[in-house]
Amino acid sequence: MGSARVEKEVAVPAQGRREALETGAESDGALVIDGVCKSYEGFVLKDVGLELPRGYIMGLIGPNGAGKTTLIKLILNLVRREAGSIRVLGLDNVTHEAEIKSRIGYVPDEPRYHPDITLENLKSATAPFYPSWSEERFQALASEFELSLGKKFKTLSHGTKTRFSLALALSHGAELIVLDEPTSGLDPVFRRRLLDVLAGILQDERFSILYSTHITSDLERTADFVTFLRDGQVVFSRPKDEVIGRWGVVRGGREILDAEARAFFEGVREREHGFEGLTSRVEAARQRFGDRVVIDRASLDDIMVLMGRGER
Amino acid sequence: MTPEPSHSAERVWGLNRNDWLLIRRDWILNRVSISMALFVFATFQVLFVQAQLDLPYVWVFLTCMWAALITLSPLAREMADQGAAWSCTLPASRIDLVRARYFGAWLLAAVGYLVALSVALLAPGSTVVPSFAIDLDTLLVGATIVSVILVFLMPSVIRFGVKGVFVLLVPLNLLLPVVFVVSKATGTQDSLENSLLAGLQSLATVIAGLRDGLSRPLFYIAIVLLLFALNWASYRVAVALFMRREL
Amino acid sequence: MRILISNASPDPIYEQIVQQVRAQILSGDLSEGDLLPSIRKLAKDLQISVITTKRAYEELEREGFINTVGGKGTFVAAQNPEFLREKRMKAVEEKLADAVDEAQLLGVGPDQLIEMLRLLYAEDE
Repeated sequence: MGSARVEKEVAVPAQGRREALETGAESDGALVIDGVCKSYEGFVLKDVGLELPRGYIMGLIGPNGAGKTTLIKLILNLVRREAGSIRVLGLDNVTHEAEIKSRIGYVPDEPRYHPDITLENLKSATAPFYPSWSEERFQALASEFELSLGKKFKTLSHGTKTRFSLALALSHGAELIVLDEPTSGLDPVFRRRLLDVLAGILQDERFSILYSTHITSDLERTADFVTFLRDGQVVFSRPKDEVIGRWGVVRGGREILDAEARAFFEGVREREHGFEGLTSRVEAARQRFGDRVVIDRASLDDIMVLMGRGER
Repeated sequence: MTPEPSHSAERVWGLNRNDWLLIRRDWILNRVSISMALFVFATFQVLFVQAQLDLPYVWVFLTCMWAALITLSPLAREMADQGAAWSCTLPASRIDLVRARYFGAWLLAAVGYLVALSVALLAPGSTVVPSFAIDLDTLLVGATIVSVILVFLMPSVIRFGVKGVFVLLVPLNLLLPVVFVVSKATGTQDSLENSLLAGLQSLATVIAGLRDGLSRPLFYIAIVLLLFALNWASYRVAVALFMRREL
Repeated sequence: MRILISNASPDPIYEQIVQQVRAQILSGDLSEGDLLPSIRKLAKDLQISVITTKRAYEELEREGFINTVGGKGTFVAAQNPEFLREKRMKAVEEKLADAVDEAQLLGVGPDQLIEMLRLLYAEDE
């Protein structure tokens, strides 16, 4: 991919971040990440920055392998960052590790608890660590999520494991909920229910949610902010309403797509009978291409698929 | 709302609240396997006693080795089940996690010894004498055996996992016979044996010297301090290894 | 208050909320002093983002349809009937102006346009 384009896109988050602050964040945001780097063999998370003010839900989107899980593990200090800073509720996540973790509710992409232990016992092994644990809340969630607490962990399906992990994470009054692909093993009915539960949490404006997913339809309506991660870099991080509703997908015949038109788009996909182009300048596109194209509002999926594509 | 940092200052026996909760958690998660191990252990005691061997120090050695190995089971299982990631998301620092493991292991070793002792004493035909089993010398020998095993295995399991430790131990076990075979072939067997013996003997001489040179209480204190230092060094190594772990 | 959000609508979600609340106030379904749901509650009910809802309320407040009283909630503002009527008349005028523009493009004269308007009225009744 062209480096010039990447620079242009990377410049966007700063603006998004400033606006994020104007939406009424408290002085210490729920999550402030700045310049974070982490490298593995064959994978680099580079200069990642984002800011989630309190009281909001941020979607962390990106294709598989973009670095979403690594970024979340960095927040939890499960892997060590190589550079940059991560502040959770105003505190550095490494120096205040224990305190921060009691205020984070974390659901991993693949929850792993001791396989031979019943959910009831797993819960009672975990609960006393949290000063704000609410047994009442846990029982309510367990029945809402249809968990049989007498079952051993290893007998659960992937989706049920996630539901159990969610019940634990949402029962100790965590101010920052961090969910790593929570819906990947869940059916649409439960996904809707989960979104309801999360919206319920957001009724208290001190609470915030970071939600990573590649199923963007979950976030299309409910997310306040969207951070798009690709190849270990933040493509953009900004209020969702600035993205959805302002970005458009232009569809037209391939004869229109000359070099100049190609440069106009943030991403292009060519097909046999035409092309799709992504643009943040819908009005300009309308003037430029007129009746020769149709223009639709871009969904998060469109943006994820098209952004940065087809550069020559 | 800022909840009290769970890292509260109050300590019981040098352990903070998190450490105790971690030990409690290890018990909840492993009580079935620990109970089973203790049952096998008790059975072994009954059989050992039936054998009517008058080898008290062999009893101490085997008993303490058993007790020490049982203590590794929570850590070993966590490593095998990839449960460390869960542990590290609990509101405890990684230092808490390692410290709790060391204290938990010693607690379990003590419980194991007590269980073994009670069974050995109560089993019919027992030759284990109570006064021997709770003698300070015996206890210190036992503590030394437990220490040697924990000091070596705890950091190794944290670093390499259970399988990794086995993989390491197999070549180590092979190395010794190979060294002997080689030394026999090259005709240096005698000098090898002699130097090994001399090494062991000088260690014994140092300990005996300490024992004779110092008054009894001072000697015991010195041994306890030495074991403590060994455990502490091992704990620091384990902490350093665990801090570096990526999950 | 009744709000229906359509994902298929070309209007952004915040705009749909503004239009519907505005319409209900103008039609009298919502009257002065009625309490609106809080921003977060409405966001939850509609399964939309808090920021979107906030933006809709801000827009409505700017247009003078609602008032937020700190700590108490958001209420339908007192509407001046004269002012409302004027506003709505203006909307009618704008739409008629559009119709005139279109008609001129097609070479339709005022008489013919007035006739069309008459027919439309008759249809409605």
